[in-house]
Amino acid sequence: MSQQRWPPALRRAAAASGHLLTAARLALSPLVFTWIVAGRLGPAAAALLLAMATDLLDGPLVRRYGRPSRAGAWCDVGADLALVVAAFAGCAAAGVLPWWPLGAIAASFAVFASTTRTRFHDPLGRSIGGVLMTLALGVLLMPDLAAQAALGTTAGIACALTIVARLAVVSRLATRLSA
Amino acid sequence: MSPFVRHSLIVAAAMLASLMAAAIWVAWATSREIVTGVTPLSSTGTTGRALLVYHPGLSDFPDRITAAFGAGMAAAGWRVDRTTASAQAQADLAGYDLLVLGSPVYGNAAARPLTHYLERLGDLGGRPVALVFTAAGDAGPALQASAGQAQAQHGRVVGRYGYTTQTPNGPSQGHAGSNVERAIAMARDAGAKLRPGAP
Repeated sequence: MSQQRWPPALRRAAAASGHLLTAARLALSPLVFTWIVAGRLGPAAAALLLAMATDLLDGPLVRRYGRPSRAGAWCDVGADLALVVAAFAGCAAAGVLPWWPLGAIAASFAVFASTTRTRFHDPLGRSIGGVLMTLALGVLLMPDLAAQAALGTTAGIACALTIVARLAVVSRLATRLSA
Repeated sequence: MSPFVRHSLIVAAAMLASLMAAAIWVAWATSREIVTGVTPLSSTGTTGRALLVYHPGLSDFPDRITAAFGAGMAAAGWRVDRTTASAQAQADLAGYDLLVLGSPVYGNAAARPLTHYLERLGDLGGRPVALVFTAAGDAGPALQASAGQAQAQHGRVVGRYGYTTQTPNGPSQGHAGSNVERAIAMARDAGAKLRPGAP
């Protein structure tokens, strides 16, 4: 049975489950932070992996069975940000990573949020949440400070790349408009 | 090529380039010497005089641990001087009763600036040496290797202390708080228990 023939109640339930998954990701964020700071990196990695799974499923469920909205998209990005900040702030507080990647992450999300109406192809920027979650998971699973630092630095560089790419395009658009 | 494949390839290429740049930077940053002067953590005390030489690493964890260890020693009556491991670091140990070496562990070994500093010291002449390492997981192999190096240079290893970021630091010893706070409390206690003639 194709999804178009599903009863409306079932379609609404599927769409609602997408929103619940976004909420679950948000709820997992403080747990990830708490477990990292407590030195319980196994449970923290499991919670992060679970949250990453919700990120893969929530958008497709809502797009297929519900009505995607701008507010929903912002909730999705907000949940991503909360999770990524929780993971990297936890790592910094636990002495695993320095604090500067967290600043790069905050700056990249701020630039992303302020340039969402600018339409251009930015593959890394569109995937930055998933990329940062994957790097955070790698940090939690790596048993060596140098390898963890390399992954944390990669996160910082990826954020810097997205900032430079978006600001370069915005600057070019502004130049064109003023010409 | 589908847009999805093209998107994935661009992201993968950007990440690979970022990872390579990060690996090069980390290799440089973990092996560079950081030069600082000698800072007295405590200038009074009758227990003895100790030189604490450490490598700060990339996070603030090694710095906080060695500072706590030094503070514990100071509380126990040690006069403690602290500096970072470099070619300019004090190598004349005359007047010091104890050498404390602190370092983060990279690839199961102490940071290169610290091992190079230890090499530069040459014969330790039976001087007591304590090792205070920070690691992601198990600091044991690095402590073992550095203890072996110190002993080969005729140092007398009187203490080996490892603190980790990835596994809980001794909750059974009654320290509360976060993993870092427990490690700092443990380091302070360990420093306070160190004695000149400790085995």
